[in-house]
Amino acid sequence: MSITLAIAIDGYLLFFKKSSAENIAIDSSVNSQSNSNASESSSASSSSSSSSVDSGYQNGTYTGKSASMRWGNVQVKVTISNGEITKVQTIKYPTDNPHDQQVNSSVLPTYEDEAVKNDSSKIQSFSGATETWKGFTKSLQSALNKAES
Amino acid sequence: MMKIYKKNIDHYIMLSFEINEMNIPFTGQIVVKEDDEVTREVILGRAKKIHEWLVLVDHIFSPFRTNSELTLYNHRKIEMTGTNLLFQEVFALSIWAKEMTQGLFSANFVGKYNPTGAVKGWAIEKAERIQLAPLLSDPNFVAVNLNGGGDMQFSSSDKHNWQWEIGIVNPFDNKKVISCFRMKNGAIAASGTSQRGEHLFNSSTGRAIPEKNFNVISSSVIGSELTYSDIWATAIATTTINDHSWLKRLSGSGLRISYNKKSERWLNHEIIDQKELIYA
Repeated sequence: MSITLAIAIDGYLLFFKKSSAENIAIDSSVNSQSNSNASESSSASSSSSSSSVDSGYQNGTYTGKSASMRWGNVQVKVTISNGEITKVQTIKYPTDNPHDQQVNSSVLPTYEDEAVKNDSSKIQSFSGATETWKGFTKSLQSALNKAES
Repeated sequence: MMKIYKKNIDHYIMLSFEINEMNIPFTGQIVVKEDDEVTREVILGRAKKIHEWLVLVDHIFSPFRTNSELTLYNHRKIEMTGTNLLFQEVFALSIWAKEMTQGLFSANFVGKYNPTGAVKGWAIEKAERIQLAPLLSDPNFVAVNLNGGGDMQFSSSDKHNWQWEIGIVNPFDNKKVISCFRMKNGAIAASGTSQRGEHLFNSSTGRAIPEKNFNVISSSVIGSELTYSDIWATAIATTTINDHSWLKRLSGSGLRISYNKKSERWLNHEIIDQKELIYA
């Protein structure tokens, strides 16, 4: 099994999405037997010969069309050889970096006075590296949530 | 019955709820003009939907559940084409994220696929967009925010002067705030090793990022979409404070802090300043 085989059984997996999760469609010409989750919008066919390796993924080159990002579509390509993913790449990017336009209003965070005990009375929400539920009751956010005023 | 907390802020009222899912504390914050029974019913309805969504996300993406799609996929029990469409969406997102960050963010496709670093921000952004932000079309609703363990997506009505005031927690003392900013609509994601222990891995070596002087203890990325900010916060947490190779590719602003207490702010592809945190 090699890249050559992977190309020979070239198939397509379409990750397609317009504006919300409900609109994704999937299209595969490699594999249709396990497509039940996507059946409502599937146009799958099994016309091409498929070749799979035991306990591996279906060999092939999969391209997807997707847009989980609000600012544009992303299309990806996955190559599978010998049942393993050997390569993933983006073949279509969001257009002209529109994200730059969307964050034009971005603000610079300002430093609190480190010498003084922080006056966080006006802050409504706290950001920090992921907290667990276990430690949450001792956190600033939890205290703020429960502070009746 | 879910509890709603109430807080008066200027002439507005903030109603909050908490959800514990995936061992992450989620806080929903809804700013309203009037607090009445109907408003609370609407909020509780949205909170229930958000909770159901988070349960679904956990069932698809949990690396700990033996029957999650992620586990089934990694054990070759299901093909990509047999996975949930949300699974495929995150897969595409992860591929793009790796290229966008030039490998700083990696869901490790060759081997055991693990998109955990992208799922949380993506899930919070979707929940805020679908369940909370639409509330703002009702004139009684002023602003909404969904904060999941420190990562949040927030929106505000144009008709009011409300702005969110967000504090960034000091990674050396989580009882203190190190920085803050005000914004109407946007997102902030934080990553690092300060709250959960060493959970970041160098994708090229497979080793945990060690707590060494120049390594980043916390990174905070401010932007308009939490999906994007979260990917970048995770990516920047793997860098050292003197490495700025990522700056030209990242839009928006942010702040990162190293173990040797250097703190750095950036805005629109430029470093604003770097200083020592003397009192941290």
